[in-house]
Amino acid sequence: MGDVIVIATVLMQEGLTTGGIAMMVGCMGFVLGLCLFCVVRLLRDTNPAEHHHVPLDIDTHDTDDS
Amino acid sequence: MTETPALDKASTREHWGSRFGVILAVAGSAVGLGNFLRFPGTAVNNGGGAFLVPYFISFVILGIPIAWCEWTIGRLGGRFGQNNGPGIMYALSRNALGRFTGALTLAIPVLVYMYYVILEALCLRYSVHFFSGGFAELFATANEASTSIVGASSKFTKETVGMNENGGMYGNAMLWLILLCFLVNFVIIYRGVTKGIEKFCIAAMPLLILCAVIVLVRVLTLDNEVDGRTIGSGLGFMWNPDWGALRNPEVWLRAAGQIFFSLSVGFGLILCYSSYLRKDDDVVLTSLSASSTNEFCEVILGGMIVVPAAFLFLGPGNTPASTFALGFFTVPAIMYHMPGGSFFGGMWFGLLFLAAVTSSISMLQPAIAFLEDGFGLKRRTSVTILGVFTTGGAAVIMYFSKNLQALDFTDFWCEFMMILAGLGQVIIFGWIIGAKRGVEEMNRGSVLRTPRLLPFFIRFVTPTFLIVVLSLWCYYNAPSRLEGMSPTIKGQAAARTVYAGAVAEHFADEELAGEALAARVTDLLGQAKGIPETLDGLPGWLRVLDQDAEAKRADAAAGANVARYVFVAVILLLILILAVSDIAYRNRIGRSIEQSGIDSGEWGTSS
Repeated sequence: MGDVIVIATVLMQEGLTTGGIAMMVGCMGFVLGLCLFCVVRLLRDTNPAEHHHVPLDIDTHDTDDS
Repeated sequence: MTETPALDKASTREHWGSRFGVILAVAGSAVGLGNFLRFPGTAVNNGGGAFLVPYFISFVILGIPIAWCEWTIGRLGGRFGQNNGPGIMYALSRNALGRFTGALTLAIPVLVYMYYVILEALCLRYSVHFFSGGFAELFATANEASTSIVGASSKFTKETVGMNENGGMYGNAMLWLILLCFLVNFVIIYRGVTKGIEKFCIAAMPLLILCAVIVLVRVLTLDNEVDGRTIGSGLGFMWNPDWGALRNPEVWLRAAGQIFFSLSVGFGLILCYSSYLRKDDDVVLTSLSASSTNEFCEVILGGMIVVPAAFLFLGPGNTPASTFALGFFTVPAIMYHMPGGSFFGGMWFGLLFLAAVTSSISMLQPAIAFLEDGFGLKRRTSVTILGVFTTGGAAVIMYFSKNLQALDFTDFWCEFMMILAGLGQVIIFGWIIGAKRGVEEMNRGSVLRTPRLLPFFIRFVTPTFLIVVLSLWCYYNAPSRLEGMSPTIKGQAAARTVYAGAVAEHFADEELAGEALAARVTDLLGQAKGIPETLDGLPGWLRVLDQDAEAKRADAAAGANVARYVFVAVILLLILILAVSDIAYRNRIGRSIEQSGIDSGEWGTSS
C-alpha cells in the first residue's frame, strides 16, 4: 500500500492530476476486474463439455418404460 | 425427401475444438490496429481520461448487448446448418431487412479485407525493417542531415505505400509482402476452422499479448527526461480528464464508434464464428470473455504505450488522431528515441502484424462459409474464388494509392455499413425473433445469466442509441464526404487554398489572421467555397498562380473521381451479393434450412 502511495505521489509530481490517476486506476480496475471475473467463471466451469452438451439419451432397455 | 449434399454437410459441420479456442479466435478478430493505435489517438484528442466515461457507457449499452445478440443469432443460425451471414439471416428473417442485413454481413468483411491486408503487409514491412536495422540507418541519415525524425518517418511511409502518386505501391517491396500476407491468410483459412483459425489464434493471441506487455514494461520503465517531460507526464497527457469535452456530442459519437468498431460487432464476423458452436454451448460468458480480452488489449495495453511515449519523446504536438499517422509516422520516431528501439520497434510492429492476421482471417471465413453453404463448393474451390476476388479488389485499392484515397473511402463506407448491419441485427433480434425469446435462447447452456433488463435494453435502448449514433455519424461526416465525391466542388476548393495561401502571404505585413484573413480572402475570391467563375477580376499577383491552382484543382478532381469509383464499386458489390444470395436461398440454402428439421415458423421466420 505504501508503495502505491509513493508511485501515485511521484506520478502526480510529474503531471498526472488526481482526476487522471482516478480515471487510469478506475478504468484499469474495471477492465482487470471484468477479465478476472470471466477467468474465474471459466475456470469454475471446469468441465464445459459436460455442462454444455445434452447428455446422450441412451435407452438401455432395462426399465419399465423402455 | 430427397437426400441432398446439404444434409450430408449439416451432419458433418465443423465445430470449435474448445471454448478457449473460440474466445481467442473472436478476441483475435476484434483485436487489431484499432486497439493499439486508434483508441489512444481518439482518446487523447477527445478529452483524455474523460473520454473513457462515454466509452464505457457505450461498452455497456452498445457493445455487450450487440455482441450477445450476434453470438446468439450465429449459434441459432448454425442449427439451421448455416455458417454464413446471408444464410443465417434468411433462416431467421426472410423479409427485406433480413436479406439486406445478411448481404451486409458478407460484403463488409470482404471489403475491409481488401484494404486491411495492405496495412497488415505494412506492419510486416516495418517489423522487418526495424529488426534488420533499416530504420536505425534511415534515422541516422536524417539526424546527420538535421532533418526531423517524424518527417523522415512519414517520408518513408509515404514512399512505401505510394502516397505520392497512384500506382506507387507496385514498384516496391510492398507488392511482395501483400502477396505473402495473402498466402499466409489463405493457407490458415484453407486448413479450416479448428485446424486453421483456432490453432493459429491459440498460438498468436498469447504471443501478441506477451509482446505488448514487454513493450509496455519498456515504456513504463523509461527514465528519460526530455525537455522536462517524463513518462509520468506522458501518462498525464493521456489520462488527465478534460471534463468539458463531455459536453461535445462528437466526443460521445467517437466513443460509441470506437466501441462498435473495436469489438467488431455488426461486422458479420461474430455471426460466422459463433455459428460453429453447438446448440448448447455457452454464448454469454464466452462473448463477455472475448470482449473483456479486447478491452484489456485496448485500454490497458493500447492506452499506456503509444501516447505516453509519443508525448515523452516528441512533445504534445505529435499525437495525431489519425490512426495511420499515429501508427506509421509517429511510432517509428518514438522507437528511434527509445533505448533498444530497433528491437522494441520490431516487436511492436510484429505484434501488430499478428493482430492484423488474426483479424484478416476472420474477415475471410464468412465468405468461405457462404460459398460452401450456398453453392456446395469444396474448400479448395471456395478459397480459390475468394482469393481471386479479393486480390482483384486489393489490387485496385493498391493502385489508387495517392493519399490512400481509395483505402480511406472504402473504410468510410464500411464504417457506415457496419452501423447499419449492427442496427439490422439488433432489430431482428429484438423485434422479429423477440427480445424475450431471444434472451431465453441466449441463456441456453450458459453458466452466467444475463441481466433481467437485457430484453428491454435490446428492444428499446440499444437500437435507439444506435440510431442516434448513425444520425450523428451522418450529420458530422456525410456533408464533407458527399462534397468529396464532387470533382467540381473538390477541385474548386483545392484551387481556392492555393489563392488563399497567396493572399495570406501577400498581406503578411498586416499580420492578418483568423476572421480578418478569411474576410480578405472572401473579398477577393467570393463567398463560396470555390473560386470565381471567371478569374479575370483577380489581381495580377494572384493570376500568376493560375497554373498552380489549375494543377491542384485537377489533382483534387481526380481524387473526387476515385471517391466516386469506390462508392459505385461498393453499391455494385452489395447488389452482386444480394443477387448471388438470392440464388443460394432459392437453391441450396433454402433446402438446407428445410432439412435442418427446425420448424421455419419457430423463430418468427416470415416469407
